[in-house]
Amino acid sequence: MIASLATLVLGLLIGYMGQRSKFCTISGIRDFFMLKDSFRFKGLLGLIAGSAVGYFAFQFIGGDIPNFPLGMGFESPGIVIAGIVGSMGMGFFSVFAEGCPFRQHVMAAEGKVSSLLYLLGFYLGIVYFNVVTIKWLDLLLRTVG
Amino acid sequence: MKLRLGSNRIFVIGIIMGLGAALVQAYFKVQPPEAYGISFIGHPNDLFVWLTNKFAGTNWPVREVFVIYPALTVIGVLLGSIAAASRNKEFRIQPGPVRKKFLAVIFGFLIANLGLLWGSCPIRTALLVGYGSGIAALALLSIAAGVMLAVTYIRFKAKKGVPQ
Repeated sequence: MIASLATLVLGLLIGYMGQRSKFCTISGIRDFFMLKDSFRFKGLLGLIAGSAVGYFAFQFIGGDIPNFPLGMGFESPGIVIAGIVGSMGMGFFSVFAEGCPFRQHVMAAEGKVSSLLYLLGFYLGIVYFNVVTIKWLDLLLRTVG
Repeated sequence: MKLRLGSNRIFVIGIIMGLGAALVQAYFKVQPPEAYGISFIGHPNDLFVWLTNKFAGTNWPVREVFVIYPALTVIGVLLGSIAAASRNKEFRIQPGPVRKKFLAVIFGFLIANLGLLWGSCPIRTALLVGYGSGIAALALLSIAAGVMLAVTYIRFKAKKGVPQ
């Protein structure tokens, strides 16, 4: 229950801030490479810096931060392949969708129709993944290791 | 409430998000896995799977922490964004950035599958980098490579004079 409520409160906070700031990881990287504009890219840097400091500090004062730092451990070649293909594809298509999944949720809440349709496809995609893709992923991991 | 954080406000907002994600993991049990405080692939999946398991009787896998009560990040973000947009008179029905409607659906579908294949959205990937994960650093570089590929494609199309 406490985890569920914590995600709701954190969601409210980042939803409000995300709408006001137009925070988007994908647009940050895109603008940096395409337009040499570092405004939104700073958000991504802040996220990495804030989390690194947060995990370090909370572990230091006794918070539950296990296995920090995670290090270079690669679980299996199959997971590395799936990770690279998945993340590269996500980066590629998110540029054409004009934003990362977080930004799409924010834009949908602003009343943008294309983002609402994106979310329709997104949640259909979740169903498809849990019914179909997960079986192929399982097969890949058993084949490649 | 007006946010006045100066010219580097988005950097400060990134820091707040990172600290918030670390806080909910450290003291509010939002784990395992590690760095799961914010995930816009994992949490929507957990919420949707929780609802499907509850009401459609499926038995799809859901993260242990969200088996009894669901992840509510998505609901929070939608409510927070609606509140911010309404307060600032920015809430209105408008076409949005993707002109062809069916393409928006296709992009959402593909990104959900590709994101779940990696297991994280770009935000959680960045959180994992902050957690010191080597594979997440590789994934973040792959996301950047994917973005650069798309930018190269857009530039190529623009040179040829083909509308996007």
